[in-house]
Amino acid sequence: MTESDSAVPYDYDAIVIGSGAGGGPAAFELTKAGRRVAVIEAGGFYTTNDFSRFELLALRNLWWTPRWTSNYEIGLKDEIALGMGRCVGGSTTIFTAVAHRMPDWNYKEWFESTGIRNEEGLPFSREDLEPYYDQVEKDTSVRQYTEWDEGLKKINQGFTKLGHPFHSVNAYINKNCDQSGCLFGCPTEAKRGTLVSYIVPAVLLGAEVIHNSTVTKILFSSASGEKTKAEGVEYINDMGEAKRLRSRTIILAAGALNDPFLLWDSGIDEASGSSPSSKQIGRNFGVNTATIVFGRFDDVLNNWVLHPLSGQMEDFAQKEKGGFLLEASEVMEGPLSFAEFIVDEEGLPLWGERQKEILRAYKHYAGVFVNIHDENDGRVLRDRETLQQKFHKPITNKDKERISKARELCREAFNEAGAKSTLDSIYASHHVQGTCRMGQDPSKSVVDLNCESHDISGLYVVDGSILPSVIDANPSLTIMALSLRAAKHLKSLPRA
Amino acid sequence: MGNEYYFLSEKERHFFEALCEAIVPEGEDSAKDPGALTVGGLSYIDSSLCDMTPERQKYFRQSIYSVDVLSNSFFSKNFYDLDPIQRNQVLKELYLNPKTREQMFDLRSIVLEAFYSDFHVPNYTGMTAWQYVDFGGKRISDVKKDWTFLRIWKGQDDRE
Ligand SMILES: Cc1cc2nc3c(=O)[nH]c(=O)nc-3n(C[C@H](O)[C@H](O)[C@H](O)COP(=O)(O)OP(=O)(O)OC[C@H]3O[C@@H](n4cnc5c(N)ncnc54)[C@H](O)[C@@H]3O)c2cc1C
Repeated sequence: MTESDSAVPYDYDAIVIGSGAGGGPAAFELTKAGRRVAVIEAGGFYTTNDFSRFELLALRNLWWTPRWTSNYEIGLKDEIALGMGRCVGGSTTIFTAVAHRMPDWNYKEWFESTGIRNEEGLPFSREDLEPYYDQVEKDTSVRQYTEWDEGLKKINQGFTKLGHPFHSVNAYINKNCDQSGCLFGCPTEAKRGTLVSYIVPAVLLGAEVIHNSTVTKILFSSASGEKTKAEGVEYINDMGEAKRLRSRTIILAAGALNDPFLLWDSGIDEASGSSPSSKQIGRNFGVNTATIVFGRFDDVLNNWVLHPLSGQMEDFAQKEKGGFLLEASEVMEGPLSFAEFIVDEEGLPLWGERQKEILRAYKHYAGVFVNIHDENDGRVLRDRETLQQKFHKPITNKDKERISKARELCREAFNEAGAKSTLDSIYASHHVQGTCRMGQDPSKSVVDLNCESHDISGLYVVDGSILPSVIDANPSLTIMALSLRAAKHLKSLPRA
Repeated sequence: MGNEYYFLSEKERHFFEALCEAIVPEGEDSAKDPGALTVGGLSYIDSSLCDMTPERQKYFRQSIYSVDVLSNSFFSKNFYDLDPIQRNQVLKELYLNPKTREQMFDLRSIVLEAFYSDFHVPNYTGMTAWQYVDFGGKRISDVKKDWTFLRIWKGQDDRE
């Protein structure tokens, strides 16, 4: 920043980058507290009437094109498709709305990962997050979702015979759900993601949402002897123009895949003097590597007319007990996504007549979504030569063991339930986490307990990237709770 | 309308024709068993590529090049000139080589989109994918699909 810049008044009390699970709650809380807030979102601002089952258009408008890992660069064979939302509401606009708190054992793992402690110096625990979980659940109308579709009923029959019945999930879905799908945006507003629960209410209270606009740089300023401070952002707006806005509080919530690049492009290395904490950016990447096992029944299930993932089986979720969490039923809600996902017996993607035959039987399939407890052993980085964004996320032998155990169990259950055959899918992740971890120790983390950068004052990171280690539950509820927690801290500070 | 191309050269059209035949082939009776070419999928690919960023266009052109390099190294012919079994072999190899795997996925994706999205060119009135796979029901059967985000459909009325 130049000296003349610093004479310009600040445009906002806080600028939030990204409007998903991390950005939404903080934006709302700060606006409600009377702060002037801008939310800058790379994707478009679509609302209920825009959402339909026109799958292709939804994929184009609401999703990032899948980003693949480049594990071959680290000598590994398997790749993972990383999926995220790119619209106002972020991934919560297209998520399947399962709203679960993280299990107790994950707090212990968090402490082991970054040594994170609460304000009293005790290991961060359930009590530290509970009030915020309570608040999010209230704000987003979380309830137990008991309306099961035919696919899930069949899957549950199989698993019950094996002694592992499914349970109804908690979901961010009110009673208006007419089971018309989740992955392409909710056409009834029954799904209470951040778009409807936090962003629209924040707009009504005066927050500004600058959509179709991509932040390219976070601005820092430093005076001698003082800690470097956040000063504003530069972004490219929907007209392709470069713009600049100033604020002393910048809340980065662009998601675990995007945050590292934005921080590096902003010059955080230099601004922090290559601090230990800046070296942690992009590291400790975890994804809950996922895959689907589909079962084919004689009955017509039309399993795309549903709220997917209405049931869960967590008997093996803890890593010591198997390290995989099962959710059902999932057939990707549309023939295009289903076609993209299915693989043959060797794990090769399908095409041609074999794939067509399976698609003709699409209405006979139900699916179990497998999420494993992986390790935070991945890395987000930029290729030194091509400057391309790269994602390395090993699927280790341990991961493979977990996946194959889960697949075997699913096949057995499908068999018990009367399925005629089963089918596997590619590896995917919708749970990207951990590239800017939270903790007190700058050599292990990027942000502190309040989600503020160890290096830059006024720069907060509040999204999936801050989770200290992978959690054995769908992550959004925990991210939203952490966002409210950070907002409480921010509200306690005097206005800039 | 229906035969205009905005982006693909003739050679590239031939390439994608062959790719469509490999990824979503037409059955013997195309009225009952349509494929990507039946519904005019080439126009989908052409329109989509035309509106991509220059980097993405370059990437797809590189991907076509990768396929032809592989075809030539195996069979001394371009992909278009291979028989169906050889084409599958090349695509499988493309997938098995980690360096070209993403290219394979993206080439496959654009063809899958050209069919399983329920796309058809304006003058096509035959069976499309959703009917073919019997994808329907609440909020699906009656969804209005406005394809005018694609050049091939610009200024055309929706058939449905
Ligand atoms: C298909 C799918 C299903 C899922 N289902 C569930 C589920 O059932 N339950 C659950 O708990 N979780 C689910 N998740 C995961 C959950 O949605 C994510 O973990 C959570 O939304 C992540 O929050 P976030 O704030 O980190 O990122 P996001 O919610 O993805 O938000 C990040 C936002 O930042 C924007 N952005 C990125 N870069 C920039 C930039 N430079 N400038 C401006 N804006 C930018 C993005 O466009 C995006 O909108 C699902 C995810 C997906 C993709």
